[in-house]
Amino acid sequence: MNGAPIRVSLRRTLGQALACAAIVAITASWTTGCSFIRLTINDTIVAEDVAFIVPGHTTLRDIVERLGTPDEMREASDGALILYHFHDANYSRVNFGHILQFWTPVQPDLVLSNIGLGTEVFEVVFDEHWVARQHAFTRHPLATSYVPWPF
Amino acid sequence: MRRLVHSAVAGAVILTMGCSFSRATLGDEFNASQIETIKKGETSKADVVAVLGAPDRVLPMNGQELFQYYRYDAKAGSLLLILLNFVRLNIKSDDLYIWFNREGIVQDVIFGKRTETLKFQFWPFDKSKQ
Repeated sequence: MNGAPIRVSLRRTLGQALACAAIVAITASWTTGCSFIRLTINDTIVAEDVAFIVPGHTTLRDIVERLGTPDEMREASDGALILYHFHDANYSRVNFGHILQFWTPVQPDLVLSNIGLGTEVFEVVFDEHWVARQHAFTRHPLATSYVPWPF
Repeated sequence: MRRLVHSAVAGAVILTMGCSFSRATLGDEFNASQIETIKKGETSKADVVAVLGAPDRVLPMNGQELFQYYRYDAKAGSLLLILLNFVRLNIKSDDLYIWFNREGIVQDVIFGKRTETLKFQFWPFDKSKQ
């Protein structure tokens, strides 16, 4: 059981690794004129996917069969809370100066870029018998479109 | 028509500077036969730790104890053209939850394998699921 803190720190390390990967991808994109990058974590869950959940009837096992295992479980007053995380982020970048490298020894940069972060969580509250009591999506912004226009 | 297709393929090859496939994983892949050895009402906490190792998280849950094991899988595809880059990074996780009663015996097991459907993709504008 002493290994648990080590594995938890590994989870933090994964987050750092993903951040590094995103930075490397963005840095690599600087070598070309135009880049479109997308990062998705887990499948998006929409309202139609959770329409089957009936408070007071649907059980944890019903939900797991349809949506898969949750990413997180927490103890709540008189029951429990499960969370499904799903994220969609995009990055677009245009360097209008890149095209000049074919004709000039010096490449002046004129870069426009935009990052959109879509973070969303679906939460279900259960009673002590693992029957769903409430469910809801958090109201976080969706990722913006791939328009490298920061203004 | 054939000439047009050949021209398009030739153009794509000329414009393509390279492509890359990258993969990252955290944690060992769950072994179905190991999970099958965990029996409700029989297997003890010590047996579970002996088979799967220490859990990634231990959670108190309504007077019971819950072990969580997880594994992450990430697949990235990059298509590098002369003027354009397309990169897509997809990440999913597998999670295993095991409930124990007050006597430390397995009460329930829930396992889901989302990484089975994880794909390498280049095109970032696709609306479909990973």
